[in-house]
Amino acid sequence: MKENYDEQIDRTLRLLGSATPVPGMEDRIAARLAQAHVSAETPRFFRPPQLVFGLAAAAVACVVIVAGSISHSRHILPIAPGLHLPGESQPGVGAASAAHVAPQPVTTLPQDRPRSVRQTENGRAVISSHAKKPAGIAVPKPLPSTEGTR
Amino acid sequence: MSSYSGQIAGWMAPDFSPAMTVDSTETITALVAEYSAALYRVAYSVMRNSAEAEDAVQEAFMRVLKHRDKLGEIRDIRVWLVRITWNVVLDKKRRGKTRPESDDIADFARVLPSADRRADEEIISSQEHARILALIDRLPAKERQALLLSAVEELSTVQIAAVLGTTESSVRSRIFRARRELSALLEKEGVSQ
Repeated sequence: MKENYDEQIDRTLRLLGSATPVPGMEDRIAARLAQAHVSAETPRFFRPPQLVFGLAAAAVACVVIVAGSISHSRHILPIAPGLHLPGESQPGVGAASAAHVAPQPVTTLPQDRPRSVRQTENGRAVISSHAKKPAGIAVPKPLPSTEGTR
Repeated sequence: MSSYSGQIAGWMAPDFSPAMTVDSTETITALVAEYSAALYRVAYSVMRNSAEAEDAVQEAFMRVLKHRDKLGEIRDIRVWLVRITWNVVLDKKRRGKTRPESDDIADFARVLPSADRRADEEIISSQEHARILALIDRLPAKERQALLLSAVEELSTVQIAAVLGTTESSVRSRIFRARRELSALLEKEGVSQ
């Protein structure tokens, strides 16, 4: 049985190895080679290689990336105050379903100065005695001068 | 720097050197006459289609034409050509540009010697060959390639080893393993009469 298999394999391999081309193959190959040879010999005054095309394409890609990046950074819009719904695009990391409340805007004072700056005398905070104070809050009075008693 | 200037010159002017062109053309024509049939068999062992095999041989010689300036450096021209053809064929096979497998049976039936055979015997034989070839395709790549190249009578084991980039003993063991595995597959499939 084993010999039978070997015979079958040998027959198939012999058949495979004895394949003959269709007559005229050499002529067809020669004709194709001659055609290719003629086209290769035609004068070409400027024949940039693929390397040049590759470098040019890479340069264009770099320019597009840089220009796109600059354009993107210039067109970033400020975050508008108020309620941002989940459907809107938001920066940062967070749950997609969460409602993100933006910080409230800081209003400018009518006096046109920030709230944190105090007008002081001699570098100390002074509460005017005429200041209107809410009831129930004791404000210490200045002590009488003791220099005369000594 | 000289190669750079040579490249620049190549862009600006045609590379035309009549003496070398005539020589290389004659050399390649002689190579076609001497080796095209063997290369066809190499290609046919993988493609199993006469048109595709011929196309592969043509493409192989086109590559030879492209690298004609290296012809003088080649030590074993037969191995070099077979290796080029082998690469072309494997590329084609990889790209799946072969005809459907069902066409192979008809191809085999056509090339079978029919002088002393009856028509039904021919059909059975061609089907048997097609089934064995299908089983060969199921072998591991290394074993399959060694077995297929061993079918080409013009190639010695040393040359097959050079084409496959391995040693002669490795080729022998691959062929042995391929045949053993093929026998096992045949026994499993019950191909024998």
